[in-house]
Parts: sequence; C-alpha cells; structure tokens
Amino acid sequence: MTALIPFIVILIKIGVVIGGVLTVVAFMTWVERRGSALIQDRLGPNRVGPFGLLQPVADGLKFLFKEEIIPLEADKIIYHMAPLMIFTPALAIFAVIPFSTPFEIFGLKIEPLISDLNFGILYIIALSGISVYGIVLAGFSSGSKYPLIGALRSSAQLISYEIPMSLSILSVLIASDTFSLKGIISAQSSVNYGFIPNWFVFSQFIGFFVFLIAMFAETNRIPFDLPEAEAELVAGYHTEYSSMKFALFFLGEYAHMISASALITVLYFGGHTIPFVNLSGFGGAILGFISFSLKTGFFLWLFVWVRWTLPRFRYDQLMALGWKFLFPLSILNFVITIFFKWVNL
Amino acid sequence: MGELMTANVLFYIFLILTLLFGLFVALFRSPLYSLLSLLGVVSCLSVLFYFYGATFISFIQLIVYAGGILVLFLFVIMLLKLQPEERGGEHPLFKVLAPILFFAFTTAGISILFVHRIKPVEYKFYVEMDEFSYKLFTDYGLPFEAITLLLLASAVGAFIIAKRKI
Repeated sequence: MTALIPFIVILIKIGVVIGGVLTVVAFMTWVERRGSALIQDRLGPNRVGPFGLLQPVADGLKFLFKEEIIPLEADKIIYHMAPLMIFTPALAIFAVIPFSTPFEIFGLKIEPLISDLNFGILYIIALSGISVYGIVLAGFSSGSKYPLIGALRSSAQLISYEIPMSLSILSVLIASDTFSLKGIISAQSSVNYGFIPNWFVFSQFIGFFVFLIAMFAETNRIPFDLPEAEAELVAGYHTEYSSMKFALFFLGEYAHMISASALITVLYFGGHTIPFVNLSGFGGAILGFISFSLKTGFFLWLFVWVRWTLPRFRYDQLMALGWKFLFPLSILNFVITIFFKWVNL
Repeated sequence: MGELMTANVLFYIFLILTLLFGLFVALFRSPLYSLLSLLGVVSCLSVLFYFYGATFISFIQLIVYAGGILVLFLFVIMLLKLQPEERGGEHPLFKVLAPILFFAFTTAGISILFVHRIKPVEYKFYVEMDEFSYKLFTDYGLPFEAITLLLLASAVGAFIIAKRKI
C-alpha cells in the first residue's frame, strides 16, 4: 500500500494542474471579453452570474449542444486528430513548471511540480516544436483553401520565431548554468547590490524583449495572428471546425497563452521567489504560489491588453521582424552573455 | 523493483510501437500518412533513448527531427500536393523482389533481436550534460567542426539552388 502513495500523489498533482489550467482558461475567456469591453468602452458580457462570471460555463454548454459538421473533402482521421495535437502539447508543458516551494502535508513531502526533469527546458522546446503539427494538420486535412493558407502561414511563422526564442532561452541557460527550471529559479533568488533582485529580466533584458515578442508569435495572438486573420482567411486553420472540436482549438490557444506567461515568469522574473523573503513551510508555499500567480497573471493581462490595442502585421513585415531584427538581436544577446560569463562578471 | 518492472514493460511496448510505425511508413500509400508514421517512429525512438538513460539525445531527437526536419517534409507534401500512389504501376520485377527482400530483412532483424537479446534500461550510457559537452569540444572537436562545415556547405548550396541568379 505504501508503495502506491507516490503514484497516487502524482495522479493527484496531474489532476490538480489540469483542473487548474482549464479553470484559468475558462476565466481567461471572460477576462478577454470583459477586458476588450473595458478598452473599447463597452460593457461586455454581464448577464450570466455576478459580473458575467458564469459566461464561460454557458459558452461551454452551448459548444456541447452545437451540431458537428465535417466537410466532405476532409481527411477524416487527421481531421479528428488535429485538435488533440494542438491541445495536448499546450497542456503537457505544465508538467515541468514549478509552481511554488516544496511543503509538507499529512507527513508527506510534496513538491509543487509534476516532474523535476533535468532537461526541463529541452522538454519545453521539444513540445513547442511539436505543437506546429496540430495547426498544420488541421489546415491541411480540412480540404479547403482558407485553412490551407492559414496552416502554411502559421508553420512558417512558428518555425521562424522558434529560432530567436531558443536563442534567448540559451542565453538564460548560460547565465544560470543549468537545464532544470528549478535551477533557473534558484539562480534568480539572490539580490544584487542590496536592492535589485537577481531576476534575468534585468541582466538579460534584450533576451527578455526577444522572448516576449517570440511568445506572442508562438501563441498566434495579435499582432501575429496571421494564421487566423479573420478579415482575410475567415478563421484560418480552424475555419472548417465546429462544435467541441472548435472549442478544443480555443482551449488550446488559451492554454498555450498561460504556459507562455508561466514560462516568462520562470525564465525572467524568478518564478515563485519573492526578493528579501525566505519562503519555507506551508505558508511559504502558499505565498510563493500567490507570487507566481500574480506574475503570470500580469503577463496574461498583457496578452489581452496588446490584442485589443495593436493592429495586425502584414506577412512580409512579420517575416522581416523575425529574421532581420529579432534573430540578429538574439545572437547579439547570446554573444554578450557569453562574454560576461567569460570575464566572470 | 516495481519501478524497474514498469520501465521494462514500457520499453517493450515502445519497441514494438517503433517497429509498427516503421512498417506503416512503408505500407501507407498516402505520403501524409507515411509522414505521420515517421513522426511516430521518431517519437518512439526518443522514448527508447530516454529509457536507455540518454536523456539529452532523446530530447534532441524530438527537437531536431520532429520539430525541424519532419515539418519541412510536411511543407513539401503540402506545397506539391502529393497524391496517394496508384496501385498497379509497379515494374513486374519489383513485384517479385519486394516480398523476398521484405522477408529477408524482417528475418534478419528478428534474429538479431533474439541473438543479441536487446535489454531494456541499462544506464551504462548515462552521461551528465557538462561531461557530454566537454567531450564534444575536446576529444571530438575536429569531427564536430567538420560537421558544422558540412552544414554550412549545404546551406550555401540550398541558397544557390533557390536563388538561381546571385
């Protein structure tokens, strides 16, 4: 029986993380609509529940009862597989993200992350590489023009922006001397010159800038939402999807947004650490989790904020920004990081 | 002990899956399905590497093959609109040769499996990341640089082919 306990603990952790992420996804759809209303001086959904908070539940129920239409031209197997191939990698990234410090409950030492992988960063890069397939296959298997164009655009965009993203992650790895996300966080827990926290956003600000832009592109959000540009491509790669499959694309996009915000927090803002505060015990774990959520929440709001403020790029502008601006900038940041590591500053 | 047992069972499951996906790569007539099977082969191989303790190689396998090379294959299939092959266009000689070769190779493969007794989970290949990179830049420095030169040459070649006029 005692041999089963670690197994059960892992199962509970997975359940809590998936449940938590899906709840935040539902909440984010509400934030997106209320936030856009705030920015555009409207009211937004406010009828279902207090402040319209139950709107996501109503939307979910509606999705379940919608008729599902499958195009005749579609490649049936791949058409059914594609939404899952988008949704699964977006959720799987949360397996390596540390949410707080370890704590003890009922005599069990619990680490608030699912798996402390030594190569956590490589795992994340691998997953973000695989998430291209869902979009491309969705567009390709629909057997229609607009999704195909959306898929082509998106794959070119994702591959282009993966390079500056990986290069800026590489600089973080050099600065922190480790591949594990926990190690990266603990490398940022100290304080410089007595008042500046040793967060990589200060020492790696070029890398942070590049990574933030690349994350907007990787999540297909405005100003990089060319794969689903509604004015040109109807809805891009998911034009032909309806009912719960469309909802899966939606959930996947929001889950991706949350994982992107969590990654920015972990890589550049010290994760769950709070400067000058030593987190330990159960209270420390809760404080750490609050700090992590606040930082992640800020970036989630940034995603919404930017979406309702900026217009969309033209495709050539997007490619020029990726290859002629971000790519050299990330290499510059890489060289600077190596130089400072070499002279040991 | 229980953990090792689970790992062994998983190892054999992924071994069989790798072989099955490998078969599918050759058997599917639609290039898209072949490509997806190849994706399956690559992913299962990376899991097998992981079981052998070669964690770094297993993730690099996913990043380079699944995230890079196979996406380019997918691009080619999408842009050229490759259709599934028609049945019956083969040369008669191939119809005789193909089953013979298939039989020969599978027997050889299975006998190798039985003779050498492929064993799961032996952590003899396990290397730490810093040890790995140190070896790469000292003992294997020359081959490593040679490979980068090869990559550079192929990149220049691709550029010239694509540009036509320079």
